[in-house]
Amino acid sequence: MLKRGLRNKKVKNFLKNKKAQERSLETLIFFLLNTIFFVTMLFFIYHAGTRAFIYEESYAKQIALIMDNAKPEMAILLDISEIIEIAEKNNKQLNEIFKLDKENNLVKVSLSERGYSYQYFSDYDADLKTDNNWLSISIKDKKIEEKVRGEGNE
Amino acid sequence: MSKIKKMDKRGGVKLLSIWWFFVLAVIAGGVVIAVIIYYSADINSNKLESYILANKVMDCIINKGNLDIGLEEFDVFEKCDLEQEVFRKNSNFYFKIKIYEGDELVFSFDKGNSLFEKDCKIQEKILAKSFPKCSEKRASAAYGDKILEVVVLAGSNQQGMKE
Repeated sequence: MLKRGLRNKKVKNFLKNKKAQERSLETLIFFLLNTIFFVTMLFFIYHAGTRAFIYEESYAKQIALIMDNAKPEMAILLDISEIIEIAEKNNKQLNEIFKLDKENNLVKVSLSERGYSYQYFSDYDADLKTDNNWLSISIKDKKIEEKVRGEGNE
Repeated sequence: MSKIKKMDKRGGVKLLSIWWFFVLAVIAGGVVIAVIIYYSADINSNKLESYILANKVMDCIINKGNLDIGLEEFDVFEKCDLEQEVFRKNSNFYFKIKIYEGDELVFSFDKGNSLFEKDCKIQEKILAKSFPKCSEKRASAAYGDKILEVVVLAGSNQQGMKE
């Protein structure tokens, strides 16, 4: 009874004491703003740290330049071990990362829901195949391919 | 006796908390700026792309020191394995072939975004970020009993596409 009485007195004193209210409000705002700040920083750093868009752009350009610089009947192996880690984090299947849009001459690399496309100017027929940590780029001469297909149809 | 004013500690604490937020803002701003600068660094491969294009065209029209094309019309896309659709008028690519016999221009052919020819000359003199990056290749080639000067200019201004 006595303790409860004392507690009630303290609460009443607290409510009456404006300075105490101000101080506690200041402290509360201080902690709130700090929390918001650190949460925002962590969120920003986490998203910046995935680096997916950097790898998408880098690999799309590399593959397009390789295809432009290559000659028919060439096969090139590209190390994609770095990109596989990021794809696994984003639950992306290996066979969905690299795509060739042959109609528009585009190389598409996507490690997330979005992706990056880069155009190549060669007229080759190419295939992209992933095998463990390697990407195999096979360059074929379109004219020879069409000739072989034509002979095959006959 | 000089009056000594006892400073209120609470006033000091209030001032410190303002300073604290200022410091936080500076640190946060610094971190954000650093990350943005790092990740907005451009991986621009246009110069390399124009170099590859110029090389490709030059290699296909000169074979073992001889000019491998006729000076009348020839299908450069068929000969050099280039995709014609990519070299439309407003495309991101351009190339020009000029063949000289001495000082006389005997053959000229260009395809792609023709504005790049002037932009390439401007790029030589001033640094312009959004202008195309260009490469020029020169070589001599035999054509019958003549020696011709072949000049290939290639430009690329491709930015890629984020989907």
